[in-house]
Formats: sequence, structure tokens, C-alpha cells
Amino acid sequence: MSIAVSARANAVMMALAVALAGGPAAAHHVGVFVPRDNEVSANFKQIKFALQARKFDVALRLFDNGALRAEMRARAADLPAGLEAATRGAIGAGDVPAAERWLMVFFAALARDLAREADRRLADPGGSAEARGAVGRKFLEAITRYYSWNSVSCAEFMRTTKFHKYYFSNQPDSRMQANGLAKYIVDKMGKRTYIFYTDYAMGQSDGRQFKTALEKLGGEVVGVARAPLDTKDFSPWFGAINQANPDVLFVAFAGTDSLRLMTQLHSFGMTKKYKLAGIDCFLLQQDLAAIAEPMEGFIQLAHFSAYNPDKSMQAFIVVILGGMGSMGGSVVAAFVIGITQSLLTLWMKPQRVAIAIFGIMIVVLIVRPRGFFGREGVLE
Amino acid sequence: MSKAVSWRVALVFGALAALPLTPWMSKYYMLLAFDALLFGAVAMSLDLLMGYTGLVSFGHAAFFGLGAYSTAVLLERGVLSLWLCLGLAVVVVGAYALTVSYFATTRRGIYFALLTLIFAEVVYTFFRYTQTFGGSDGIQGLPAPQLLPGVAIDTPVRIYYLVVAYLLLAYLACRVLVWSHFGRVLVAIRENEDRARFLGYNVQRYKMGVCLISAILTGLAGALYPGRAAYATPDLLHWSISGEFIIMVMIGGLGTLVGPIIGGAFFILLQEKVSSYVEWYSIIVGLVLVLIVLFAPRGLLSFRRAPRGRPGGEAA
Repeated sequence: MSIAVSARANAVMMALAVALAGGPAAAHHVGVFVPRDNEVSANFKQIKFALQARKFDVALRLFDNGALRAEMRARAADLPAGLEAATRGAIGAGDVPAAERWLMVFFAALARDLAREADRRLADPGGSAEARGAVGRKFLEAITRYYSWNSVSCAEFMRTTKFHKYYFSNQPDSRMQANGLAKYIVDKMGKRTYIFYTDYAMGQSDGRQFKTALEKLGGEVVGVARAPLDTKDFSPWFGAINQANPDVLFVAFAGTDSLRLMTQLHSFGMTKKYKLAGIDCFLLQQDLAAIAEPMEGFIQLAHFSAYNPDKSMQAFIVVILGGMGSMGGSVVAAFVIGITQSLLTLWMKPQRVAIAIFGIMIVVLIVRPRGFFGREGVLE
Repeated sequence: MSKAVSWRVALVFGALAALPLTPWMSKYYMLLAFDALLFGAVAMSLDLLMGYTGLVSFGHAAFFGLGAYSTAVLLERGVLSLWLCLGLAVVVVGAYALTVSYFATTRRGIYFALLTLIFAEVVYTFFRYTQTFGGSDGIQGLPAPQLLPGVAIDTPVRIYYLVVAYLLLAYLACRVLVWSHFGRVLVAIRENEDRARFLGYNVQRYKMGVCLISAILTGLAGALYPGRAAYATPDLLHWSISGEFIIMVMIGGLGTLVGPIIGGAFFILLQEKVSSYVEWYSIIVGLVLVLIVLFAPRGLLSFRRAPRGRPGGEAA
């Protein structure tokens, strides 16, 4: 390495390092808390899937031999009387809503007991602050685990596994995400769709994007309606929806608006009549129990692009791949990376795609470090 | 090792060992001192690459984070022995370092930095999205590791002594290394790689060797980290951490061993102190860094002593 080049490389490093000082690592910690399973929640999932598949004998066997029932027995004193028998009866009878309701009660009780226990231990003056902090974190995780299973046990949020094939979660914008949901609806739910959304910027763009996407895929939009933000009574719109008689009702509402809409739809019998799907219907966890039944079977699309690598890192990859000092190279590399990423997403988990892109980068750096169109010997 | 240096080392480590006995060392300061010394040690091991061999590694966070995850995975599964944790860290980090350095050392200059960076990003992405390791939340709420069965390292003072012991051993190892024939060859590679090759040295093997040593020292430091923090998260693997390591080395002074330790400690203390006053602390930290680069390009140590030849000379 000649001295001049080494000085230049050092200058580059220096510039990078100075830029780095501007971004603390903590700022990168984004993401949804997904508690890990323990044997109880794992057993619950198996039972839940068996119930969904309407294999009640399997569900009953899983319940009888599983950790969930053992836990129920161990905690019988703190649980509502007869919970175990009621759950078993509901599973055996194939009464899915009742079984889910009892399981929900059980998880709520578990979370409650854990919270009490955590409170007791944290109040205990013995032990170091760190040890008590660790206890707190552990309990928090356990409580969240049960609490989120509590919500899953009552409402079907198909954000993962089954939906994944259709849901291009690493797509950078809501338009492409709308495409994913539209495809799912056309393939699996029905062609005739009614679009109902909140009349504000985000609702409008969601509704419009979804309409375009659906029509492109051969779906039929049988009607579009808008309700103002913070509508208390949605029933004036229900007549038009019933008249159009769609297969699928697409709703894009947020917060308490969704809560009211879903409960009112349910009380008018429309949640059973139509298949429901929507975008961005984020609800508070404590509301989930109230709309457990209305939300059953709801297909949700959430706006998030958690699997995108850092934007700066992507730009960086493009520059290196195209060749430093070559504008055209960057343009070509941007296309190559973008298209490769999209194609790989078709048959790879999005998080593995990010790794594959780094793999391409590694190969290029080893085989042809100057990139596609870079001059040889630059910075080497 | 010359007598003067060993005296100074004994003095400094004696002072560090006596630190918890002073009245103003609260638990908070003990843990802060832990961080300062731990990251000082990491900066020192990175300097083996940057200062002595002239290879800028932009992926040291991966070594650190892999070490931390090794410990976290074992602690989470109830394996509490510190020695097993350290052993696993050595194996995992060593295997990863060999792979990375095998490919990265085929390239010089900035391409070495890029390759280490991209490999580290792969590791980051893997841990960030793998639910087995807790995804973006990492592994949380870990118990304290045990030095011997029943002797848990669970108080700030014990954790502090652990890192002092680690720093001493790591420092002595690096000292021996840079004074050895191996260390001389590394400096020769930095000064003129082609010439070193013409002299008959297998340059790539030397580079891989120093990568491995540096990575394992960093990984061991990472393996100690969950003992203090009770967690390991993907944030520890993020490239901005690698950048911080480089900053620490540059603050302290390239090509010395003591310099980066001071640089790492200085960086941690500065960050901690400034961030307790203002939220936008990184601006101030960045400003201090710029001032150091402008006025003390050989690092903090150069205020104290007249420059002796080129960086990476005999300065201790």
C-alpha cells in the first residue's frame, strides 16, 4: 500500500467515522416486541391451529396431554372455578368461539398473576437493583407473552406465516403493500369488493391505492364509501354496502374508529355476511377483547417495512457495486440490486433476502473490487 | 518486557484494583468504569489491526456481538459457568474471524474495510431477524455468570474486577505480541506489504493470524458484556458500533497499546457524561473528535510525549 493511497483511505475512514458519531446505536433499535414461546404458549398454538383446522379430536388430545392443561391444574386455585372442565368441554364439542374465550380467560389470569408476582418481588428490598431489574424484565417478557396470546386467542391477525406469501412486507411503500393484499383477496377471498375508508389523507390514499391494485388484478370494486374521521354511528353507510352485496368488505380505519365500526358491523350481522380485510386498523390491546368476535377472520395488512436494510447501507452497496467514481455504474447497480431483491422475495423469506444481497456484495468485492464500471486501482 | 514498563503497568493496574476501595465509587461509577475498561480493551485489540498492521476493520462489532451472544445463549439455557461462556465465544468468534479474514485479507486498503463491514452486516441481519435469538429484542433478562459453581459475578465490584483482570491479561498478551517477531512482521507489512512479501513472509497468513487474535480478544470482551448488562441485542452487532471502536482507536492514537485503552475509556466517559446533560450529545462527542483529529492527530497520548518516529513505533 503506497503512502498516498493509505492517506486517502484514512481520510475516507475519518470522514465515515465523523459521520458515525452523529448516530448513536440505540437509535437503531426499532421493532415489534415478539415474545418467545414457552411450552404453555407453544401448546396453546398447537391447540389453536387444530381448532382452526376443525380437527377437534387432535385439539382435545393436545389439550389433554399438553403443558397448558398442566399449568391450568397447577394454578386452579387462582383461576375461575371450572375453567379446565369448561375449556375441555368446549374443545371436545367443537365449539371454537367458546374454547377461545376460555383460553383467553386463562391467559388473562396468567398475565394477572405474573404481574402480581412481579410487583411483589420488585417491592422486596432484598437483592441488588440489577437483580431486581432482571426479575422485572423477565416478568415483563412473560406477561407480554401471555398477553399477546390473549389477543391472538380472540382475534385472527394473519400477519405472518399464511399471509406471508401474498404480503410483500419488504416492499418499501404502501402501494406495493396494497398490491399484496389485493392479490390475497382476489386469490382467496372473492372478486367483488366494497371499499370503505376514513375520509382523511391516509385513508384516502389507502383506499385509492387499494382500488387501483384490486382492479388491475381483475377484482371488481362494487362500491366505494367514505366516512369522516371520528364518526360515531356508521349505520347510515351500511344500507349501501348491503345493497352492493360484496364478497369482501375492505375497511381502512384507525384507532377507536375501527373499534366502533367493527362492533357496529357485527351488531348488524355484517361481519358474518361478508369477508373482512383492511389496512392499518391498529387497535389498542385492551380493546381487543371487546371486538374479539367481530374481528374473527379479519385479514389485516399492516404498514411496516421492518425487513428493509438501512437505506444508507443500501445506497452504499449500490455505489460499491456500480464502481466508485462511476455515475452510470451506480444507476445500473441500483437496478440490479432492486430487481434482484424483488425477485428473491418471491421465493425467499425477506430477512434472508437482505443477507443474500450482502452475499452478492461480498462476491463482487472479492472477485472484482472495483465494481461494474469503476476504474482499477482506485482506493486499493 | 523492560523494567520501566512493567513497573508502570504494575502501578496502573494496582491503582485500578484499588479504585473500588475509594469512597466515591458508587455502583453506577463501578459499572461506568467497567464499560470504560471493557471498550478500552476492545479498542486495544482493534489497534493490533489498525495501528500495527495497517488494516482498518469496520466489522469489529460482529466479533464483539458474537461473543456477547455466545454468553447470552448459554446463560439463557442455564449454563452459568463463565469459563464455558468464554470458551464458546472463542470457538464461535474464532471460526467466524477465520472465515472473514480468509476472504478479507485477499484485498487491501479500503476493500478490506468494506469486506469486514459487509460480513458484519450479514451477522447483524441474521441476529436481527432470527426469532431463536430473540429477533430485534435480543436475549434479555440473563442471570449472572459464575466464576466457580456458587460464586456468581453479580455485584458491580466483582464485575469490575473481572474486567480489570481481563484487561491486564489482554494487555500483556498484546504487549508480548507486538514485541515478538510476529509483531515486527506486522509492522513491516504495514510499512510495505510488497517488500515483506519479497522477504519471504506469507503476508496473508500473518494478516489472518493478527485478525484472529484481535477478533478473539474482542469476542472475549463481548462475552463479558452480558455479565454486566444482562442482555445481548443485535444493536451490539451494528456497524455504528464498529465505527465507535475505530473512533476510540483514533482518539487514543494509532499504533500504541495504551493509547486506544485511554481512547476507549475517554470515549465512554465522554459519551456518558455529555449524554447526562444533553440529548444531542453525539454532536459534542463528534466535535471533540474533530478537535482531536485536527490538533492531536496522533491521539490523546501525543499531548504527553514528543512524537517518537512514525506512529506504531516503540511508544508504549
